Amino acid sequence: MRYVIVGNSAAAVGCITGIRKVDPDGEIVVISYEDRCYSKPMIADVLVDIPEEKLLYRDSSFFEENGVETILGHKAVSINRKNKVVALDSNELVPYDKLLIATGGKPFVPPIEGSDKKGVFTFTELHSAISFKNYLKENGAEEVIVIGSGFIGLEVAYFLREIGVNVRVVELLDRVLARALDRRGSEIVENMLREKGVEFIFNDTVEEIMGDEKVSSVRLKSGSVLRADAVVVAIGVRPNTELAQTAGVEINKGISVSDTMETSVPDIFAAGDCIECTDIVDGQKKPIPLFPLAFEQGFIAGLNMAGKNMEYLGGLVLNSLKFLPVPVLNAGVVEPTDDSCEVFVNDKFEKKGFYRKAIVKNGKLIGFIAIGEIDRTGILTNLIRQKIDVSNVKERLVELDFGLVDLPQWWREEKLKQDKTAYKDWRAF
Amino acid sequence: MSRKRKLMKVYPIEENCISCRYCEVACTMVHSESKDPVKAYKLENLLPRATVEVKEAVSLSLMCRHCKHPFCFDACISGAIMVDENGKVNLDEEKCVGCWNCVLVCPFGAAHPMIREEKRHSFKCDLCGDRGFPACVEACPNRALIYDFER
Amino acid sequence: MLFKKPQVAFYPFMVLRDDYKCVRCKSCVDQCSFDATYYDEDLNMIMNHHENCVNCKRCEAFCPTDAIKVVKNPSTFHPDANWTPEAIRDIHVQMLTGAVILTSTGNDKPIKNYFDHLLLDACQVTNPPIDPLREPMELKTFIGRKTDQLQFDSDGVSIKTTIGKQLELEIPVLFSAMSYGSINLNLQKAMAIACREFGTYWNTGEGGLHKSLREFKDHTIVQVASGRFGVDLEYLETSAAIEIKIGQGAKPGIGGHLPGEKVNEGIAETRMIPVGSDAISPAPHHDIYSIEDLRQLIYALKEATNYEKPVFVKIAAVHNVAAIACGIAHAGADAIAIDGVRGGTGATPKSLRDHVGIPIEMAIAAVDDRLRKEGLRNEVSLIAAGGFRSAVDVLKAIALGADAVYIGTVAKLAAGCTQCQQCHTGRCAWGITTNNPKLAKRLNPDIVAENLYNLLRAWAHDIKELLGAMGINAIESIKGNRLRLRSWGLTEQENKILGVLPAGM
Ligand SMILES: Cc1cc2nc3c(=O)[nH]c(=O)nc-3n(C[C@H](O)[C@H](O)[C@H](O)COP(=O)(O)OP(=O)(O)OC[C@H]3O[C@@H](n4cnc5c(N)ncnc54)[C@H](O)[C@@H]3O)c2cc1C
Ligand code: SF4
Ligand code: SF4
Ligand code: SF4
Ligand code: SF4
Repeated sequence: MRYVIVGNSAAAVGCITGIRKVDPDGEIVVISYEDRCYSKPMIADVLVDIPEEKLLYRDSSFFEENGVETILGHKAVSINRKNKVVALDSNELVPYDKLLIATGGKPFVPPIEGSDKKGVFTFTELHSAISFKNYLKENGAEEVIVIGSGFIGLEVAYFLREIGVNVRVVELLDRVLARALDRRGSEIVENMLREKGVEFIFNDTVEEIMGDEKVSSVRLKSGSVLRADAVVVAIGVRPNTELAQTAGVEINKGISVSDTMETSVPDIFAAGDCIECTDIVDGQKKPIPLFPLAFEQGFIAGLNMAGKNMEYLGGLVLNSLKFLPVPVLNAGVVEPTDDSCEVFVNDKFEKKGFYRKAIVKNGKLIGFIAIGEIDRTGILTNLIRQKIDVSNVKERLVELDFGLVDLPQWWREEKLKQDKTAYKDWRAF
Repeated sequence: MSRKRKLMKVYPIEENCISCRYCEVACTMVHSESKDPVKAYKLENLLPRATVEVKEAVSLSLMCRHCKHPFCFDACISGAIMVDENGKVNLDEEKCVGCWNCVLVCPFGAAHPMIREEKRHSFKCDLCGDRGFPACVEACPNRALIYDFER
Repeated sequence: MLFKKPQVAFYPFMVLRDDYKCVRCKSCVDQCSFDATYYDEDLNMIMNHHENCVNCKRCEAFCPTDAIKVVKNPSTFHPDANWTPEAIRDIHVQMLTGAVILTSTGNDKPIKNYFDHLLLDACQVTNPPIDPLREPMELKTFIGRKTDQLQFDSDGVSIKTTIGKQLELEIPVLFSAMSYGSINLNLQKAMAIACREFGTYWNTGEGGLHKSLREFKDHTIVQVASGRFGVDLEYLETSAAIEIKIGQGAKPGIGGHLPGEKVNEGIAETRMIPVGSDAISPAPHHDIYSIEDLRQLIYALKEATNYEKPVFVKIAAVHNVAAIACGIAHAGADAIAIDGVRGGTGATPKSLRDHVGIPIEMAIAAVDDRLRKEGLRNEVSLIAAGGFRSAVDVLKAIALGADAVYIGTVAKLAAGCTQCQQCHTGRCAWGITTNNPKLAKRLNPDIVAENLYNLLRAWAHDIKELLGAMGINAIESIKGNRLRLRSWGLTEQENKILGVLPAGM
């Protein structure tokens, strides 16, 4: 059996791990146009000169130990589903028995005039982070404009302050992380960033990036012109489905896959940021471009590619703001989705440094936010995943000592005594 | 590659747990430099890897289950969490970058954040690593923890 | 402390905590069942309500860093031999509550302990001692009606006499009655396991027999008390022997009262009463006003159980215990259990516990003498109870004339009890005399069964060593053998009652 994986990130590593659980001998080939298996969520650390090896997600020994052949620095340009081969930009043809498309996401760049100027960066790949860093140095940049106040934008802004560069974040909506957090959460995060010296411009956007060859300023929709020695566009990623298209697989908002991660074309699987998955909370298909999901989907794809039949549990929004001194987590939804939702809040942020919020619908937890005190919040995440009835403990969900003792005894019996902790054991009830 | 795993884990028995927290303190102590409980907490700023939960008559000590499918492993962005050939889930605190993903996904709340002074990393039960026998099990006065083969 | 009666300020104990050693594990907070310790989040410190501390020492035992010492409050009243702090405090309590002072465990007053004034003999030169490790040594004891003489068949060898059912003990020690309700099922189970393993008996007390303990039938003595809780034919049959409880050393002459709030489902089912209702044992058995009445009950029980179960009668050691015991023997009991003034309990008025009854040592001697005089000694076994602390006490009691000894407090101690005298509150921090599920689970029956087994084993060794030293190889040979006892520091009158010679004679 010959497995080919396009992509060399979370989903790919998950896939290798999954395949090797079932098939110790099959050939595995990994193709990526990047030169190493690094951790994407960590690329902003480049700005603060994190040692290179720390960025590695898996080092070469991982690939050696798992008997994986790697073809790095080459882009897969097309898939021939009939002949079951992947064509590389070097014209090399790589045959496969089972293929995983794990091409991830690509940054979304809106049509802004001047966005082709030097000094305008996206921030989703290591090389873009490194060139941004070098550009800052070479040009003695002092003022940076970040477009978008999502996780990536804020992280870049934070690290820029860390190295003494002034940052202004331009956000179309009226608060930071508007899609990930509730108003209170946004406020807390915003305040922390303001303390760090990040400036914000809300309800506005960049209409034009100005400068000769290099960017020198931006013009906002509101009219004002701001100095910009560099610009980071961080308004989100979209599934990278370019390669998948060449195979003719079904694509909606992302590559469409079955519960076993198989695309509409037999023997072609897909996982990670390039697909759309079913959100456990609302049952909707959508791209949820998150690291844990990418790995898990890759893993499940791997199991299935190697012949073990395993269904994916579904996707779940899981965010962690890791760069702030105070941790900020959320899972599922953060605002009530309709009138039937109950909202529980425990806001002691000013006094004790924590904020917790839980949203319950039909007796089930569908989302939470935890800021400051985050220990043991995974228990909550699992309540969302397993849809356990929490009606009799709903007030406790936002208490810091909420724990397994609050869950039904049979659940503890099953998980602790019987040790039901295999993948299928985490299905919703 | 379904190898027969030879993993031994700590199993809590809630019927016997009397919430005395010996397990917590023993755990903190054996993971300290000083091997002294007071210094472990006060000078080394350590915290227990086992968590004693109490709600009225129900109490139990909870530590990493070394899950057959560890969500923490899926979620770890730095490669700090790895699963060995027996299924033991290891967390390399040096490698951990403190992204808190494991904290966010561990269904047992067994991966904990350490955010104290300079320290920023997750930590969890390592089955007492080179100690050979789990300290919590040894310390438990009421047989509420047992060290047993994976079930 | 504000808004409390000033008298509460005079508390007897204090929880001293070395705050540096305290690692805020909060174990003490959780372990204290008397609300004497709490965690103050704002101060991040463990604080105390000293006035609630009962000196149970649970926190002290469980503090993993040894940061706690529970001490006597050094601030006490003016020294006064008459107005002791206890006397003053009792006044303070009664003036506030208007009630009888309830307490538990056994008499804590310095009533002379005669065991401490008795010394055992040993062999020297002639009639040499026996090494129990090398030679067989018999501790086996039979409880039940024996016979005065044996009758033989015409062959002159086979014995014709038949005797009633006997309890066979591997050590002359049994666990005394402690009811389900006063203690929890865990301790009962621990005792039952230990008895089955070692070869002796435990006693249900007056609270019935929980169904989970029926498997220990052959090592169980079931009690029938004035409340008749849990008594039905099945109960009587699920036993090795039946004990009629007339009285108890810690509260002679009064009944019992298990408050309704303690009557949970298990207790209710076992006692055959509704959940939450008070379980009241009247002071008298309303069908026993004479020896004849008692005889009727004894024979009713025997009849009901096909004469297969020995029937015991338990009384408190009161002033004319000897005469009462004779009456009981006449009434047909197979064994008399006598509970002395130091006998323990789960709840009793303090005045009764401390001031009613007589020491068991005196009672054993008096009863044994009287039964012998009346020619009844073989008709009935004598089990002594109340304050036995060691194998030596047991041996001395047997030398004074008992067949075996009941121990209760010892079993509690082996389960962790620190004698804090709070059994009646139902908040025992060691999980012994409580049915609060959070507390009761502190007592792991398997662990305590092992402790009890060890204890019985140790005592058996002790007794064997002592017997060996006396040159005796069977416990039977020391029974009532007061010649092997000498006293010290006792008056002539005391020696006479005990039937022992002073040392030197
Ligand atoms: C700056 C940043 C911060 C993030 N922070 C977090 C975070 O804190 N938490 C979180 O959960 N998620 C975070 N994410 C998202 C997370 O990184 C992704 O969900 C995850 O990396 C997705 O993994 P993947 O394997 O699906 O794809 P990707 O990581 O996008 O990897 C795609 C791989 O495919 C290769 N590739 C693509 N196309 C081709 C081709 N045609 N030929 C050959 N190779 C190809 C690429 O070289 C790459 O190796 C962050 C992302 C970024 C960019
Ligand atoms: S040491 Fe044992 S009894 Fe004590 S809290 Fe831990 S598990 Fe429970
Ligand atoms: S940390 Fe949590 S998820 Fe990971 S193995 Fe342990 S118990 Fe399982
Ligand atoms: S096994 Fe060791 S590391 Fe794990 S909880 Fe117990 S004491 Fe701590
Ligand atoms: S048990 Fe000891 S260490 Fe723990 S909180 Fe109490 S005093 Fe402190």
